[in-house]
Amino acid sequence: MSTVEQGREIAECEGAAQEIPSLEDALVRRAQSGDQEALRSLLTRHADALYSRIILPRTGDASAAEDLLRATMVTAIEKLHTFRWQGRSIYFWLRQIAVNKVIDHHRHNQRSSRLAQSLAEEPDPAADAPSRRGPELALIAQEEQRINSARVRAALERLNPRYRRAIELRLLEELPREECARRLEVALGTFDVLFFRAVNAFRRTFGEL
Amino acid sequence: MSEKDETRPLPEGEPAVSAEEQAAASQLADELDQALAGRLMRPSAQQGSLAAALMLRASAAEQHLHPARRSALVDEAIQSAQPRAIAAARPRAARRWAPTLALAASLLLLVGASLMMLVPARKPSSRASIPITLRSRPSDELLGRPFSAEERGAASQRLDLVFADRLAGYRRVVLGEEADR
Repeated sequence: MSTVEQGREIAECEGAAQEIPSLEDALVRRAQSGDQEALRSLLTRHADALYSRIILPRTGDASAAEDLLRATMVTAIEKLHTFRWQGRSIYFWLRQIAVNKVIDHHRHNQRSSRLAQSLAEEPDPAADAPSRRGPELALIAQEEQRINSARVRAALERLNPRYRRAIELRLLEELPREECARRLEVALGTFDVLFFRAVNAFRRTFGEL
Repeated sequence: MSEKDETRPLPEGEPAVSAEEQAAASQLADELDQALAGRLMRPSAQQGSLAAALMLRASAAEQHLHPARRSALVDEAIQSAQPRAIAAARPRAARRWAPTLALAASLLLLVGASLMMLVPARKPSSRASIPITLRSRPSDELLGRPFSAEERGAASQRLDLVFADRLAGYRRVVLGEEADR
């Protein structure tokens, strides 16, 4: 995203975010009183952010991410009566529920238990945002994406350059296998092995970060 | 060494490719293609590698939920949580009404007790029609005066007397007029 586009997005978020305290506060109160439409509106408002910025980058599997999003919202509904408005969006409360669900998901999977530990030690980008002002939400969203990208970059930097290139072509540039093999000037089966080893090397590195 | 040399496609120092590794690599490649095409994946030996690959891809660029799918997930969550959410909400409603209910119950008890005190006790209706030998009664009339310390040893005789009296009453209940024959 270019600097101009980022600035436009922040301006739009600032304008919309000015209404967040009063509008969302009213929605939360109505949802806590049993208003289903308010509850639906509240969850719909934050579902995609939870999915795309919190859950999917930490699970990878879209199906599992949807299950975890659903579980997050169920828990939020059941515990909504415990939420107390403190001047900032309920998104941060939902975010913490989602992170906990992801950590539990990885802990149950022995192959990713180290990743669970790594996620549990992640800093919360919302921890130092006590301001009541709306623009913090847009900045937090940018920070979430930055953290996600930084984790991946740091792990990729530690890989062998040829492994890194295989991952960049296949996953970041989203090229077909055949095109990846052509660009690396290897046979298709050889590229598959190259990519296979690259991903396993990435797994070992990512779980240690 | 030229990169076109297919006998050395891997980085320097990497081990040679075994048949098992080639098969696993092909499986991962196929599963990744399916995942990227949005098809459901069955758990496999490459599940961990596949998840890592997809996490990497999702971290690099945001992938959003389709609005229809987002709405469906929200509705599913509301349906799943609704009974429990209602149950969780009940205690709050109960707490709101508890003082009023407690006061109403206390008032009812007070009124009921007052009425019972004001209404005269009813006399037993048919008690007099039952012979005394068939009624539940203390054994004082049968044994007479309180016995002295010297008469302690005659306890078994006193028990026999009470037992015989009760047995006679039982015979009359069961046998009717035949009991006196």
